[in-house]
This record gives sequence, structure tokens and C-alpha cells, in this order.
Amino acid sequence: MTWHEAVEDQDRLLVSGVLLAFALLALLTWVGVSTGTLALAGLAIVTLVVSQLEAREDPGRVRWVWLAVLALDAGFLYAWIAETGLAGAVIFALAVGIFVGGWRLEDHYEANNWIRLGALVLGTLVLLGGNNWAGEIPWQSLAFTLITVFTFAVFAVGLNLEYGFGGLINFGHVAFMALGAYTIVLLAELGGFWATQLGVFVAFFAAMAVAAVAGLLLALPAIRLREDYLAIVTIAAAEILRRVLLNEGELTHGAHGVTLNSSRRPAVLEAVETIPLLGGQLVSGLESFAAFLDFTGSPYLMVLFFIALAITAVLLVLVERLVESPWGRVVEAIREDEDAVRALGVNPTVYKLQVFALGSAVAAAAGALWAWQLTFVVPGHFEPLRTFWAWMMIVIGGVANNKGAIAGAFLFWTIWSLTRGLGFLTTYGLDGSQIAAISPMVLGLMFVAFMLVKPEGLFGDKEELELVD
Amino acid sequence: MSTDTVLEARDLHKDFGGVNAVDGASFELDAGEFVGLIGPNGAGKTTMFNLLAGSLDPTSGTVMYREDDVTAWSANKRARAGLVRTFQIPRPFRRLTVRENTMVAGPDHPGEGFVHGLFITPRSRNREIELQEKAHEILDFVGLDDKHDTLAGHLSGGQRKLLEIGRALMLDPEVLLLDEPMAGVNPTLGEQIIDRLKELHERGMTLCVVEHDMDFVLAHCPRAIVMVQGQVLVDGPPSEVLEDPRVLEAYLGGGQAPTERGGDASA
Ligand SMILES: Nc1ncnc2c1ncn2[C@@H]1O[C@H](COP(=O)(O)OP(=O)(O)O)[C@@H](O)[C@H]1O
Ligand SMILES: [Mg+2]
Repeated sequence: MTWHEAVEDQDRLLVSGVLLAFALLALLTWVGVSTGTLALAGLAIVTLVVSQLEAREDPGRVRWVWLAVLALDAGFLYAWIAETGLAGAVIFALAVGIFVGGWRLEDHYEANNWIRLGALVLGTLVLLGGNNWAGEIPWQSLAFTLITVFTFAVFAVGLNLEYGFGGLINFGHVAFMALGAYTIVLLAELGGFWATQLGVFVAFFAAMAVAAVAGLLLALPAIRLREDYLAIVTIAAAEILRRVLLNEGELTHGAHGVTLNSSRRPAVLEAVETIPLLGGQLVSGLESFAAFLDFTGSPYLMVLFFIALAITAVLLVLVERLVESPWGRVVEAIREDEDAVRALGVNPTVYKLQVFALGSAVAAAAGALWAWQLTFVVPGHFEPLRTFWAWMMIVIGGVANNKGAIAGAFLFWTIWSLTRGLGFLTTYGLDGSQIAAISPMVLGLMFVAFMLVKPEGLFGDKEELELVD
Repeated sequence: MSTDTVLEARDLHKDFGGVNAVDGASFELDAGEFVGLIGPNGAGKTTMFNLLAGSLDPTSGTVMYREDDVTAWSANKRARAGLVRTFQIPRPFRRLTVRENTMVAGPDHPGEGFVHGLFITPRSRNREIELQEKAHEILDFVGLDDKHDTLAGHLSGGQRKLLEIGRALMLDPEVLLLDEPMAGVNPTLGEQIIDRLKELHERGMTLCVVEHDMDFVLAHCPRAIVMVQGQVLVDGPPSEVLEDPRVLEAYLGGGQAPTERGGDASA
């Protein structure tokens, strides 16, 4: 069996990549051969040999040993570049192993992408959590990042419902996140009932309701527009809302925004405690967990992390159920051909309004998480760029796939976090603002790479993409 | 309007900014009729169907369906009432399977409401099963038996025509308006479609078929309506209609012989 027969296409790609990386490495360290370089070269050889041997046995099966070696390679490469210690290398290797392993397992067991989503979440946790355990990222910031990931996962699920399933181009999605966030902080500012535990729960649903109604009001005149005109109307509406928030002094305090002050923050904790049966244990359990992890701050972020996780999971399941129902079938048919749906006795306008209102409500749930996480809300949070982040997430994840939207959010923020504040780059002569530009640059490159290599996204359906007219 | 009339076009006009696509056309369809609507390219046949089915609003004139003036009814309301049309160029939901395409047309589905969709009520589940059986029957009937799980975008042109008819049948139409159902379809599939239409006719469905192939109209339709330049030129038995010098002139003047088979692009 020749080398080319033994290695599948994508594997060949991986191997070439690894080899190239090593060649580069060798070149860079050519001047002074260190033991580390020798070790890496050794690993490269092991990788090749293992890939040959395992492929020879049975080309079709998951090649665990090779996978592990490949992951280790990646780990050491990362550690070498980012100058982390051995721990950093092992953590990175573990995460890569989980990502790639999840990918392969899904190919084998075909679990409707659940394995891949699980691998992505677990891999991210290992990566971020491991770095933090190794002292690279503090707990506070880890919890914070993960809450952000969930917030945007929810935000992207809302947009995906509108565009992926409903075919509605919304470039003003961020407006509904803003409405959700402002509803939370403004209701809390009223105090009284809204500062009670029940009030916090009610405020969450109120935020969703406000956005749903606002979405409906915007959609009523706009939804009949051709899709590109709808895009223009929505982006304009979102900017108008932001300008109003910016210039309105009485209620939203303009650019100063509104703070969810500390006396109200614990209400979120207390609200969790009121959950029947388990709520109390949940909070005290989390508190001791936080203490065990030496989580120095209040357990607020820790609790919020689990709230964010729960909200994401519940919304994912609900939206997934909806799009797979007969209702979702009609919505997808409307995306394909509205006039044909009409000719079959169904009024598409009703469905488009519902989709827009629902997508907006989901965005408001993300807004609520945002407000709880930052504990203050300013108009500057809701610039149009945010909407386009969500667009990137759903395109990377795979349009018309809810798990894809969540995966997209995870990938987006993992890359964002890992490429942020790479202090070691100063040794290469980059200044602070240049280093800050690395994240958007890498994300942009990744997006372009996706468009070129995998336009259907992580979980998207290539067959379906080819049928888009 | 005789007592048997199910559908009537009364002095319909449609003006596309200067182009009078339909220019004062009137005719009646009686229950159970099988009518061929013919005429040269650009005569206004498709536009006529659009007006009858409610896909377009007429500039003036009235559409009567059964007892009602339906001129102001939306296309979806008319379809639900049993006045159903197919498109000249098939419009499948490309990224949905053939079965899903058909199911979308299934009427009275509580699961298509958002709350029932979310909670999957027993009523919704039962209706889903009923409609699935119906979709199965219909797809077998039109000859797409082995294509249920194929994405509609992968169907051939002829199969798309079959799906177009299948979807319409989900609505149990009383009047079915078919816009060139055989155009561009290979002869074998064309025969199959003709058989199906005849069977529907025997079941008592009122059919109005736009067709270029005069042989088809001669062989199967007891009545032909000829449209020329937006107006009904002649209306009667096909053998007589084709003898009419005005018809011959209209076709030759339009540069097209009446026997020519083909499709025009305006849907
Ligand atoms: N949407 C439209 N806008 C402008 N002109 C149209 C439109 N639809 C049809 N027409 C014109 O109306 C005339 C009749 O077209 P149509 O009803 O498609 O004819 P047929 O189906 O008999 O071939 C043609 O001249 C066509 O160009
Ligand atoms: Mg036509």
C-alpha cells in the first residue's frame, strides 16, 4: 500500500500541515539546535510512522493513536509558540484531541451532530479551564468568557431561526439584544417587586416579551419587503434605537447607561434559590464549589455561568423542537419559495411575523444575560458589529443548524480569547494596539478559510447548500 | 352563471404598465369539466391563471368561485377553498424532501400553529399521521413512489412537474388549474401525467389545462378555450375551434403553428 492510498484526503491535509509546521520550526531554530527542537522533530517522525502503521491495518476506522500523537504535536507546537510550560502543551493537546476525536466519532456514529457539539463544548472547557488551572487565565475571567460564549450562542440561535430557517435577512438583530438588556436594568432600577426574586424571573420573560412585541411592530410594515430591503430596514432601525438610547437622558441616561447596582445583583442568586426543590442546594453547592476552586469573587459569576448554560440548553431544545415541527416545515418552505406556499393555501406573512418576533425574543434572552453579566448596560455595547459577529457565527457553524450556531459561537470566542493579549508578541516588536488587532484578524482569516474550504460551515449540509438558488 | 358553474372569469383585465396581458376575458367552467386553455405565447394564459388563483390582482373584472365573488380573496384563501393552481415553471421547495414538500400543502394541520408545534399535542400528532398517509398515497399516485426522501432540488424537470401536481392534490382541489403540466417533459412521463389527469377528471375534479400540444387537447378535452392577446377568441369543442380561421390566423400571425409543442418562459 502506497503512502497516498493509506491516507485519506483530509488526513493528508492534516499531515501536510503538521509537516509544514515542523519544517518551519526547524528553519526557525536552525541556528541553535535545542533539545526541544530535537524532541519536536522526533514527534514528527513518530506521527508519520504511526499514521502509516495504523492506516495499514484498516483505513476506515478511527485512528486513535495517531490522533493522540497529532494532538500532542499541536500541543507542543502551541506551547512552543505561546511560551507556556509543559502544562500548557498537555492542555492544548487534550483540547485538540477532544475536538478532532469528536469529529471522527460523529462520522462513525452519526448522532445528528450532538457528539460534535459536545466535543466542542468539552474541548473549550478543557482549553480555557486548563489554562486557568495552569495559571494562564484566572477563574473570574474564565467564567466571564464562558458566559459571553453562551450569551452569543443564544444570540446566534435567534438569528439562525430568522435567517437559517425563515430566510429573513436581519442586519439589526443587536437591537433586540439591546431591548432585552435595557428591559432588565430598567426594571431592576424600579426596585420594589422587580428587586425581589420573583421579580428577576418575571423581568427575564418581560425582556423577551418587549423584544417580541418590538420585533412584531418593526416586522409588520417591513416583512413584505424583498429580503435585501428588509436587511436595510433592520440595520437602520437598530441604529436608530442605539442613537435614541444614546441621546435619551431621563430614562436610559444616555451614554452613561444604566447600572444594575450591587444591591440588586444578589437578587439573581436569590431567584435561583427560589427554584422549587433544588434551588437552595444549587446555590449553596455552587458556593462551596466556588470556594473549593478558590474562586475569590462572589459566587455571582459562577451562578450566572450555570444560568447561562441552562438558558442556552433550554432555548436550544425549544428552538430545535420548533423547527422540526410542522410549523418549522412551513417556515422552511417559505424560505424556499413564498409564492408557492401561498398557492398551497398557507399565508406566509403570519409565519414570517412569528419567526421575526421569536428571533427577537431569543435575542432579548441574550440581552438579559448580557445585562446580568456586565451589571451595567450602555448604548456602546450594541453597535452594528455585534449583529455581524452573530452572522459570522451562524455561517461558520452552518446555516439552518441550531447546534451549528452554538458551535460557531464557541469557535468564535475560543479563538478570540486565545488570540487576545498575546503579550509575548512584544518580543517580536508589536505594540499593544497591534496585538489587539490579532483577534479580529485571525477571525477574519478563519472566516475566509471557511468560505473557501467549507462554505457549508461546521455542521451545515453541503448537499443542501448546493441547492440554494 | 349557470347552476353548474364553479368558476367564472368576468371581463378580467390585467394591465402591466401598458401591456394588457389580459384584456377583457370572460369564460365559465362547469363542475367536472376538462377544458384546454390554448393560445400562442404571450396570449395571457398564465396571467389569466394568476388572476383566477389570486396570485395577481386584476386591474378590473371579477372572479366568481362557486357562489362567491372571490376577487378580493388572497391566493391562500382561494387555495384552501379548493381553487388550486400549479405553476408553469415548477416551484419546488428545493431544500425540503419530496414528502415534506407535499406535507406543507396538507390543510388543517394544528401542528402548523406555533404552540402546537412546540408542544406536539395529540391532535397535531394525529393529523401529522393522517397527512403522511395522504401524502404517501398522492406521491404514489403521481409516480414519485421512490422519491419520498429525495430533496426536491434533486428532482428532474419532469419529476418536478409531478411534484407540482402532487402538492396541489393535497388540498383536495375542486378546481385545478394546470399551467403547461406536460411542457418540457419526456413523452413517457407526459403520458403518465395525462393518465393521472384523466383519472382526476373521472373522479369529478374540474380541470383547466394550459397546453401547447393541440393533439393533447383534441384527444382529451371536450372543450377548448382559445386566448389571443388577452382575450377569449373562440370557445367550443376542439375540433370546431381548430377549424376556425381566426384561430389559424392568430397562431400563424403569432408566428407559431398550433401543433407546436413548447413552453414559454413567463411563469
Ligand atoms: N409580471 C409581468 N410584468 C409585465 N409583463 C408581464 C408580466 N407577466 C406577463 N407579462 C406579459 O403579459 C403577456 C402575457 O403573458 P403570459 O400570461 O405569461 O402569456 P402566456 O402564458 O399565454 O404565454 C406577455 O406579453 C408578457 O410579457
Ligand atoms: Mg404561460
